[in-house]
Amino acid sequence: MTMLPWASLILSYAGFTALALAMPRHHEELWGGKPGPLARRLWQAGGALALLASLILALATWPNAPVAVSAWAGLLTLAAFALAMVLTRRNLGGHRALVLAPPALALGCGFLAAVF
Amino acid sequence: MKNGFRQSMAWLHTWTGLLLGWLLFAIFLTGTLAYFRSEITYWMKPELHVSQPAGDPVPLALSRLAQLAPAAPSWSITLPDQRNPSLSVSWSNPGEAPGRRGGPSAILDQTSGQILHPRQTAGGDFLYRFHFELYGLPRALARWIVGIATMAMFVAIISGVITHKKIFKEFFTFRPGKGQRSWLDMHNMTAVLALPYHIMITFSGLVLFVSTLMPLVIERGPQRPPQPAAEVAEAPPPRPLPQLTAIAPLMAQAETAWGGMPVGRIQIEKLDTDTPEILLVPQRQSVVTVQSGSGANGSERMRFDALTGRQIEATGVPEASVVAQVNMALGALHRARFSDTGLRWLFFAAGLAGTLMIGTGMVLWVSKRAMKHAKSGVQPFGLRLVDRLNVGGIAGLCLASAGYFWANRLIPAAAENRAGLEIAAFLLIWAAAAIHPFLRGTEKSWSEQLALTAVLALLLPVLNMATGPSGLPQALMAGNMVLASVDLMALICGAVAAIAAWKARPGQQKKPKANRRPPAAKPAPAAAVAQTGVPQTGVPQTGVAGE
Repeated sequence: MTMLPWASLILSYAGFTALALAMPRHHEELWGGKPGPLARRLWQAGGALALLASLILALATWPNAPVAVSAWAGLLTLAAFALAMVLTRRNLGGHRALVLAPPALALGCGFLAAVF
Repeated sequence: MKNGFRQSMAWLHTWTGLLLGWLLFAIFLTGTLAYFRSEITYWMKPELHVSQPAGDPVPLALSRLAQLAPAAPSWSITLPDQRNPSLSVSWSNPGEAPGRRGGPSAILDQTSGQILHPRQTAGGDFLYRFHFELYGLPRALARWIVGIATMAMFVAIISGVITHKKIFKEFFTFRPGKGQRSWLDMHNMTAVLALPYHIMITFSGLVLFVSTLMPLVIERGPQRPPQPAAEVAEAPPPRPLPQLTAIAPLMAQAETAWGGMPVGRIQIEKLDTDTPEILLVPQRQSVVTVQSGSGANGSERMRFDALTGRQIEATGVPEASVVAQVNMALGALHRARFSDTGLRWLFFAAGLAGTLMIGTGMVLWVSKRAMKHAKSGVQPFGLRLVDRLNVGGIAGLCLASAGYFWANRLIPAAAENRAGLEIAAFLLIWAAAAIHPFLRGTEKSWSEQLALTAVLALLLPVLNMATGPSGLPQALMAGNMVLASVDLMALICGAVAAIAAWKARPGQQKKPKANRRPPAAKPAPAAAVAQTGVPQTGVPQTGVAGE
């Protein structure tokens, strides 16, 4: 097992976080305040790039394309779910740094999987 | 006009959902469990768990075959793989064509070579079959029913996305503790976040049913050339077994040719002639489009002279038209045929999300209407009926599935018609769970059934340890992930059921009406449901109104 799928997962999480920051409602929840139009565009572009990068990593992990795309869809689900949980906690008064918890967890899992 | 369109979509979403919701819930739940079909079947045969992997199994299998079937004209060895760790051998009787199904066979202990005798079980195959053929109905009728349900699912997905357009603005939103609003968030979240999966699984499921629903439009997959009828030889006198060449280098050669895909089956044919041959078959297909049948092996073949090791022929992937290829790719995707372990778990998680989506949708149907009727204080009959049926259809099926695993271990291994008894246990538990809410009221039966499901699922690893030779810790230590995955799956499902049971515990709805004030615990979604069933609970919580 390589680190590739985990990296893909972390990138898709990063992509979703950036996309969330581009949305006024979620930006307010995560960061506070509203993003300006330029900031929104930048977050959107960054998010899209990160998702694209995670797709490329998925294609590199799984040898054939239909499998890789389905797997990527699965990773997206996982990443988006993690972000939704972070936002839920955040709304209940959780700390801003919670955003880093899912990628840290994924990194840990990936490390364990690579070692064993 | 736009509003009118959205409203009619909402109507469509609501009523297709209600009409086929329980069936779809059953299809999704059993289908999700069926991702672990061969793992479950293996788990359900604890007699096989004593066998530990021990080096190269081929020489052991060959020497045992020489003892068990010295006169057989052909032998076949199925090697342990990622999803089925048993070593099994089979052979044909003199005068029979080689490779016939249903011939004599045996599963061997990989250390001692002793024959293992697994119990008879319906295994994971029951759950797998149930998810597209149900049970006890004529096969064609059942496939029609499930096919129509699949189409309804497709309709519900599309109309749901249109109805809940707002979900894309509140993409990551889940607001716990807000009554019906939380249910709706949960329903939306499990739908949207796994939307690609839902579309893929529903669409590919529909394609798998094409031959049932539209018998004239199927294009057949590639057909293997018909095997020449085997010549029936008269039983030969026992003859000394030929000295076979070493198989390991042949396997290495095949695996290189197949791009690293390991050999899954070894057949030794024409043992009764002077020119015996070895046929190697890969474990799985290398490309997703090869073949959509539910058999396990790929379609490449490599044949060798068994005495000299010279390669006689190698066949590759059969040609197929584009339409057939797309069909087969969808079929393989639906069955997760290609999946390595990690991918299988991903699909399992997405399937679980789909199951939750359907379950929460059914609960929403009731809670919305209950709120509407709360002011008049009279709950119409249809509403009360759906409310009660929801318990059996959702919590009851979870309970029956957990009970099925217990039945497998508690019914004596030597019982007559064992597989039938296991299925009977499943159906009886489900029937009892369906009646339960009519006697006990919905509120109590929700929480009791969910709690019992949680207990059964969470204790499944304990049951496995008590009634089998290898528990979860041993399986993990030995790296037997096939065995461990069923216990792990039970723990995950048990945890989900425990959370649901906690949220649905009685008394939840008696909290003061809290609107937008975050209470400590999430007022149970199921509690909102329960209100409709229990007249004395009076005024329901005022959640934030629906979409």
